[in-house]
Formats: sequence, structure tokens, C-alpha cells
Amino acid sequence: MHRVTMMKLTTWMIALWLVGMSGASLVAQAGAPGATPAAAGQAVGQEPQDQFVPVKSLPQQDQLPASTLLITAYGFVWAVLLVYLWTIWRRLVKVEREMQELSVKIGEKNARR
Amino acid sequence: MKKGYPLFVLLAVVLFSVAPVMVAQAPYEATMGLVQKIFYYHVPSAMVMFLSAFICGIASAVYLFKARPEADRIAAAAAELTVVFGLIVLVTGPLWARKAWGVWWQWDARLTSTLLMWMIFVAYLLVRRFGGSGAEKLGAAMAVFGMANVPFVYVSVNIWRTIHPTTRVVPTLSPGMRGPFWFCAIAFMLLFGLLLAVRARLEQRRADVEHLYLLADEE
Repeated sequence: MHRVTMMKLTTWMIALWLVGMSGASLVAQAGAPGATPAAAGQAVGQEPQDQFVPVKSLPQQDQLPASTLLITAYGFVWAVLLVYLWTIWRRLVKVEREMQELSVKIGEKNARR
Repeated sequence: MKKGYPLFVLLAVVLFSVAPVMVAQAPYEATMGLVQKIFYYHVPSAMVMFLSAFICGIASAVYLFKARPEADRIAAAAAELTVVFGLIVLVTGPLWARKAWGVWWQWDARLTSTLLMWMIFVAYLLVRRFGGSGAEKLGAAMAVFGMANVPFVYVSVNIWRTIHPTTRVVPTLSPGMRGPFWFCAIAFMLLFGLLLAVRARLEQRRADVEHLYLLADEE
């Protein structure tokens, strides 16, 4: 039984690792600057680039939007705090319910005596 | 504390409602611009994480040497809060770094030591949850070790070469940034105090339930 569980666990871990690795390589390919244009260029038979042209500032689509990062950061803080508050509340409710049930149980036992 | 608790909750709600307005009105930093405003939540979260780790370590030491169960309950509550606020630090930091440094993560002294410290407290929670009997004492020893890391994490930016800003940034903040920063810091400290009180109460109630189970079994 234990061996079967371990084998299942190992299979799942290998499967997860494979999915993770393929996902990571896809993200890396998509994120690599110039990766897609180069591939596209080769596909239509363009000449390879032999000169780099400098520009004063990055094109708009290559600039990292600070506002998105800022909103994500603040949103994450709020989300974590709210989720944590909710988990505390849920655990407190569970414990209080358990306490009430036990008190009733003990009370009934005492009454029977 | 019980009587003043709703008042403190109200105060925390007010502080956290006003904080975004203060952050929005704070001046932009010259080199980083808008993204630097992550600082107003990132650094207070780190301060709370350090404080929480200290409280956890001290309470754990008291539990180890004096065997006081209430100290253990405070330690468990503080450890969980160290992990929660540590998670905030470890996520907001890379979001800031992506724009400011061009990378999400750098294996430098400050970032690596913070991650290690956070992992010690995650391990503490795992040991307590799955460690079986005696896990409290083992966890307490881990928490003392985790607390000992705090000063090293704090001074790491001044000792080793790193791209993370040094500890001199906060004391030398311009007046326009100082106000919003300390406002957010107070808000986070207050929230931490409230969460610690509630979380310690949860541990107390759990101990009460265990006691009731023992009573039910005896009869």
C-alpha cells in the first residue's frame, strides 16, 4: 500500500516537473526580446540583421508599466491580509462551535449522573 | 485589551483607508519614479516581519526555559504572522525590483537571507502542524534560530555588496516621503498588534478545546 502510494506520488511529481519545465521554456521563449521577430524573419526568408540602430528611448510596447506593478503590489498586500483575516475568522468559528458541542456533551453526561 | 479592541480595529481601518491617499500624494523618487511607491507598503511589512520574528523567538525562548504554555501560544501566533508579512515582503520586493533593477530576483545577501529567514518560519509552522508530540519544543528551538537571523538580515545590506538600498534610506527620507512612510508603518504595526491578539486568542481557544476533550474522556 505504502509502495503504491510512493509510486503514485513519484509519478505525479515527475508529471508536474515536466509540465513546469515545458511551461517555463514557453514563457522564456515568449519573454526573450527579439525571439519572436527573429523566428518570424527567418520564416519569411529575410536577411539576418547585420547592424544595430540605436534609439533615444524604448518603444512604448517594450517599456515596463510601473503602474501595473504598483497596483499588483498593493492589490497583493490587500488580498493576502483579507484572506488571512478570513482564515482566522473561519478557524475561530470552528473552534467556538467545537467548544460549544463539547460543553453540551459534558453537561449532558453530568446531568445523567 | 478586550474593551479597547473595537476602537483599535476602527483606528486600523481609518489608517488603512487614509494610507493610499498619503502614498498617492507623496513625491516621486528621482530615479525610480512611480514604482518606488511600493516602498510605503514593502518596508513597513518588513519591519513587522522582523518584529514578529523577534516576538516569536523571545516567546519560544521563554517556553523552552520556563515551559509556560501561554508563551508557546504567542510564539505560534507570531510565527504565522512572520510568514504572512514575509510573503508580502517577498512578493512586493520583486515587483519593485522588476522595474527598478530590471530583474525579478537577485541572489544577493539581503534577498537570500530574507528568503532563508522566511523559510525557517515556514518550517516552524510545518513542524508544529505535522511534527507530532514534542513538536512544540523542536519548533521553539527553530524559532530562536530564526530570530537570531533577524540582525544579520537587517545589516546585510550594509556589510555585503548588494543592489538593495541600504538601511540609511529610511532615516534620511525627505519630509514629503517621511510622513506617508511613518503613517503606513504605524498602520502596519497596529494591524500586526490586532492580528497577533486575535491569533493568540485562537490558540487559547484551541487549548480550551483540548482541555474539554480531556474532561469528556475522563468522565
